[in-house]
Amino acid sequence: MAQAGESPMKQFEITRLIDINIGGVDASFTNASLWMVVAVFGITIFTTIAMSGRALVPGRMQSMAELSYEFVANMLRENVGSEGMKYFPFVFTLFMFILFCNMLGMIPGSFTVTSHIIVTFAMAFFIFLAVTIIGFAIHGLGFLKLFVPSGIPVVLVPLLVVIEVISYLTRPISLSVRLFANMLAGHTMLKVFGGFVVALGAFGIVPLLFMVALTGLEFLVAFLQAYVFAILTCIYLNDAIHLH
Amino acid sequence: MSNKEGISSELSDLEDLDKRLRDARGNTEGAHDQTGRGNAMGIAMRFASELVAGLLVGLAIGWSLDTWLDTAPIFILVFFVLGMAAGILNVVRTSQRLNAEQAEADKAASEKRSDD
Repeated sequence: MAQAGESPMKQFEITRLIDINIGGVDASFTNASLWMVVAVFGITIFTTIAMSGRALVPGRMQSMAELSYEFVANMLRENVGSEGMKYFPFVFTLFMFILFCNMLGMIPGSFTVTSHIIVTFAMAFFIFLAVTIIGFAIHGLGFLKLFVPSGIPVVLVPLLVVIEVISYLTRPISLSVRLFANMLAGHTMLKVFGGFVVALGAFGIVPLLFMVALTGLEFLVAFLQAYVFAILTCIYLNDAIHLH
Repeated sequence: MSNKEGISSELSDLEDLDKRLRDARGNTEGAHDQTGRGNAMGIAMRFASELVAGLLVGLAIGWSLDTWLDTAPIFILVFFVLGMAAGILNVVRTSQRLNAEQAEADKAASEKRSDD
């Protein structure tokens, strides 16, 4: 764990592994890129190997793959309805990618991609754009009715429309900040308590016990945040498809 | 011939799996409370991020309108308040959704208990 004097934030530092420069744009392959590639390969290997048996009675690996399929499929069916299954590949990819990034981040010495706001914001902003485009594609200009709450006095309409538009614009921000803040806070906390274990010597057993509980909690948070990200994507899709 | 045997052995495998699944499910009744408590922190984070996001977007819109129209600090003040309203609106909506989910889960749980 952390050596004396090493900052608990050091684990989030981005280092260039291979320098790449395309037309003055820094496109270097960094440790963040590496762990994203690891996550993508991990998911591909997990799903293809697990399903290679195609047994009627699934083994452990196949159960896990089928469970993750069922989990996302049910989430879409409950929140969006059967029309939502069109977007299953998108939501499933998103959920698995975030879940793998979070879980890989729990390996000591690894790098947590989702603890960087730009990564989570890029995903959230893409969802925001996609949902807006889907909404306009399905309802045309009728999609703007999403911003006009029903059953209110005419005088209040302009004010409430402005508030609704702001509330709509907050979606990518709250979505990305939530995932990023959870991962950042959790991993910093683990590092800080890890430092206590070393600093306290024999009394380090107390923070060590706490660390065990905290690590368990972090695994829960890693899963929960992937779930929350995916379910909010479903809810936004539902708004775009069905309006209110 | 061997194909038929294969199917019947797979069917008995399925029955066996079903039995084991039912046994395993019987043992996890108390597990729900644990995840419920872990969830509480997630919910708190969710509300906090909704509120902060509302404020941030309000401030961003106000600030850019002010620099564009050179009217500082009128729009930033107006949109600060509107952003706060939007944040609170988001929190209210989230909690309504969570309450509905909770009510549904409670209903399902009580129905399951009366079945047993």
